[in-house]
Order: sequence, then C-alpha cells, then structure tokens
Amino acid sequence: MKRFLTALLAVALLLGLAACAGEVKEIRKTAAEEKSAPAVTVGKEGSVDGYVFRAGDFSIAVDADMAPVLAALGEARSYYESVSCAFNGLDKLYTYDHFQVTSYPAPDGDRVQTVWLMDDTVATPEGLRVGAPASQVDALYGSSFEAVGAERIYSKGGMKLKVIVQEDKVTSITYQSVIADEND
Amino acid sequence: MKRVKTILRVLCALLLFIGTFLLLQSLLTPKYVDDVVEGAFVAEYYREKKDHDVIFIGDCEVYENFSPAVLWEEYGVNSYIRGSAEQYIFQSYYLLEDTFYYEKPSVVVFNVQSLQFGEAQSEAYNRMTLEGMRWSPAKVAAIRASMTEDEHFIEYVFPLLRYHDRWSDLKQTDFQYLFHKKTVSHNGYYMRLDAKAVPENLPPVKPLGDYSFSDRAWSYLDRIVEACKREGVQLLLIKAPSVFPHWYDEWDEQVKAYAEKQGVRYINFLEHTEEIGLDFATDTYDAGQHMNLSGAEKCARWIGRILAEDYGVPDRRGEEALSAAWAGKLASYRAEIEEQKERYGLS
Repeated sequence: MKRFLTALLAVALLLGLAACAGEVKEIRKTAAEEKSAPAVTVGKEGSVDGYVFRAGDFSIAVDADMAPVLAALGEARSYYESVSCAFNGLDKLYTYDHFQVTSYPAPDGDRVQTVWLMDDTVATPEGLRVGAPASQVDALYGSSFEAVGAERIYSKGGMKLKVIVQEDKVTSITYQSVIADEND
Repeated sequence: MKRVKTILRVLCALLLFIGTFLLLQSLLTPKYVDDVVEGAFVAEYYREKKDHDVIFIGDCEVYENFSPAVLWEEYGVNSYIRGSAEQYIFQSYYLLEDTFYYEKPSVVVFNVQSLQFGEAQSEAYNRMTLEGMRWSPAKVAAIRASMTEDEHFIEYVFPLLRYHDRWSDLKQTDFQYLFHKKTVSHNGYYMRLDAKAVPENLPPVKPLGDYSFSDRAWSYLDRIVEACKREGVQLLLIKAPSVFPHWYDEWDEQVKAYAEKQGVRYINFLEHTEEIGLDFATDTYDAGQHMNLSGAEKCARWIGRILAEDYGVPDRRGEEALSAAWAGKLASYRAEIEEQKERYGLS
C-alpha cells in the first residue's frame, strides 16, 4: 500500500512539476522582456542588418543599448516616462530638436525602441525626409512593403522602417523595434 | 472483501493525488498581494454582495480613476469597478456577461481606451484578468478570445502547468494566502496617494498611418451595447482623463459617431477637466497616465452627479445593511489613506 501511494504521489508531483516541459516564460515581465532581445552594436563604428538612423556621425539602431545613445546625443529637449500598467519598468521618451528616441526595458538595461524623425531638417542615411514625394520612397526603399492605412512598413534585418505617406507626401518616418513593438 | 479494499485504496490514492495537485497549484499560482496587486482585482468581485447600481468596466483608466467610496459617501451610489491591467475590450465584454450572471445594475460605465487593441498583446496581462474570473461559459469564451499564439487553454484550467517553475520565486505571502485571499482594492479601485505632475511639455504626438479601430474591437463594443440593451441596463461610454498615451481626435470622432448612432451617451473626460476641477500638477501619480486619490475622488464626484441626476441612480444610504457594509469599507479606505500618507511622507 505504501509503495502504491508513494508511486502515486510521485506521479502527481511529476505531472505538476514537469507536465509543461517546454520553455516557460516568466509571467511577471514586461511584454518586451518576454521575448529574447538580440544584442545590437552601434555607434561610430557599429553596423547592423536593418535600417539605421544617423545623428551626426553616430548611428542609432533599434534594439541597441540605450546608454551610449544617450551619451552621444546629450541632454534631450524633453523627457517623459511611461509606466506600464501593473508592471515595473519604464518606457522612456527622449525628445530632441528634430527627432524622438524611445526606449524599452530589457533584462540587461534599456534598449532603443523607436526613432521618429519629426521634421524635414533630418533625413535617413538613404536620403528620405518628411515632406519628400511618395515617388522618392519607392526609389529609395522599393515597392515591397506592408501597407497599413497610409503607412508603409519596410521590414529589414529584424526591424521595421515605417513611413507614412499622405497626399503624396511623407509625413512621418519611424524606425521601430520588432521586439518591442509600440503596442506592447 | 479484497475487491472493496482495492477500490478503497484506489479512491484514497486518487483523493491524495487530487489534494496534492490542488495544494501545489494554490501554492504556486501568483497571489498578487505584493507589488503587482492588479492581478487580484477581478477575483475580489466574487466576494461582494452583488446588488450594485453602477458597474464600471475597463482597464487601468477605470480602476485608478474613479473612487467608489466617494460615490457612496456623496451620492449613496453603490458601485463596483470590474477592471484589470490593460483589460482588452473582448475581456471587458465577457466580464460584463459574467456580471450579468450575478446582478443587473442600473448603469454600466465602459471606458473606450481599449478600442485601440483588437488582439491581446501579452500573456501576462491576459493572466491578470482571466485567472481571477470564476469558471463559466463567459470565462471559457474570454480565454478563447484572448489567448496569444503561445498560450494553451489547458494552462488556464490547470494553472499549475503554467506556474510549476515558480518554486524559486515563492514568497512568504504565497504561504500566507494559500487558503484565503487578502482584499487589495476598494470595490475594484486601486488607490495611490503620491503625486507626479504632468510635465510642461508632453512629448509631441506621433501621427498614425491608420486611425481606424479594428473590426474585431468594434464587434466587441457592439456586443457590449447589445448585452446592455438585452438586460435593460443603461450604458455610458467614457474616455477617462488620462493625458498619456495620447487619445487621438480621430479616435474620439469615431467613438462620438458610434455613440450617436447607437443612441448611447459618450463623455470624454478630457473635455471636462476644468469642470471636474482636475489639476494635473497634483491629481496624478505618474505624470498624467493615471489619477491619484485626489484625482480619482474628483472624477467620482463629477460622474456621481451625472449618475444620480441623469440616470436616476438611487441614493441608498438609508439602507441599513448596505450602510453597515460600506462603513466597513470606508474604514478600510481611510486606513489605507493613512498608511499611504506615511509611506509617501505626506501630511
């Protein structure tokens, strides 16, 4: 009888503890932290597979470590912290004169979530800026994109370049992390 | 005789197995009583006597922005907030159907912020809303409507399968609240006393390529409207006065048009901040995303008048049993105010 019960208890424990044998995510993490964040290197020498914004001679790629980006860009014109409901960790918005950089919390520190080009004084390294005609978007980035309303989404190297075209003019350009998409 | 003994042994073993399984499950499932208390809100509703006159449904923009204690104290309105962190619109709909199993309030107040999400964004948020629901057809449907790609229905039926690796995260409170739960909200309201002002310059508003809400989100708002009509319950749509994330004018226009078409009232609190008396330097604890106690009490005071005067919600302060129940709740409400004053160093 004892042996029988011990065996059953063991089965109960095994079922309870090992039934879900696959990789299990920790539940109390931000949506961004749930996914594994790849290391991205950028800076004066760095390069990545996706599209990268250049502020002066410094490259900013999404999912890059935020600390060197902040050090290179200097003090932001304005700063805002967005707290996720119920979770620890902050999404941070750094607004500079002509573009905005946001970050998301990753286990090893903040990473670049988006870079949004706000006006026509800055351009992508390929030469696209706000106010450019739609034909220039096609010429620079091709006609292979996902269309969501007026937005064209170009996916490359695990990131997205989002270009909004309204009335034949570019009205917004955003570099977007796929790991921490803005709806997370 | 031998056969009976065998059957008894098997039965005993089976009971032992079930008991062990349930005990482990109860131990390892998060209690949401420490830092992340929002996951406990949905379950707390079932401990209530269910004869509320007003039910608020929505995400953090309801459970942090309205104080049911003020509604009771100043208008005698018996209300409850059925809200959880980032509660998606399909979850709100099924929580509404779940509510209708138990009671029929005079008014349902639904916050439209969640229209922007047609699909669930995170398992963590799903769990915080769904695990607290009592089993019912509404819960089954809510799980099915919410599950992200990597989630499995069986893990909602047996949370142990999901939480079996929490051994290393167990805290004293997991043992302390193994068999009973601590109440962490005030009729669904999450209290915060600290203040962090909205900065002078909010971040510039990023344009969207597409301002339309998804068909799926609209379909669940349709269902909310239909459910309220079916039950003869008045529906009030609101947008709470949170200034971040940005509520686009294009979104607001769509909701206004929808409300007009459905013959339902819609109030965007952002258009009434002066009337409400909101001061974004002192009435929010996170720079305008959610109200603190001061802001939530002002919002409750303002909507209380509308509920009483325009919707005829009765003043029930004369009811002895209900007043006695609220006396206990108000004592707990005031005790937490004092506790938070001490925690945040407020006078």
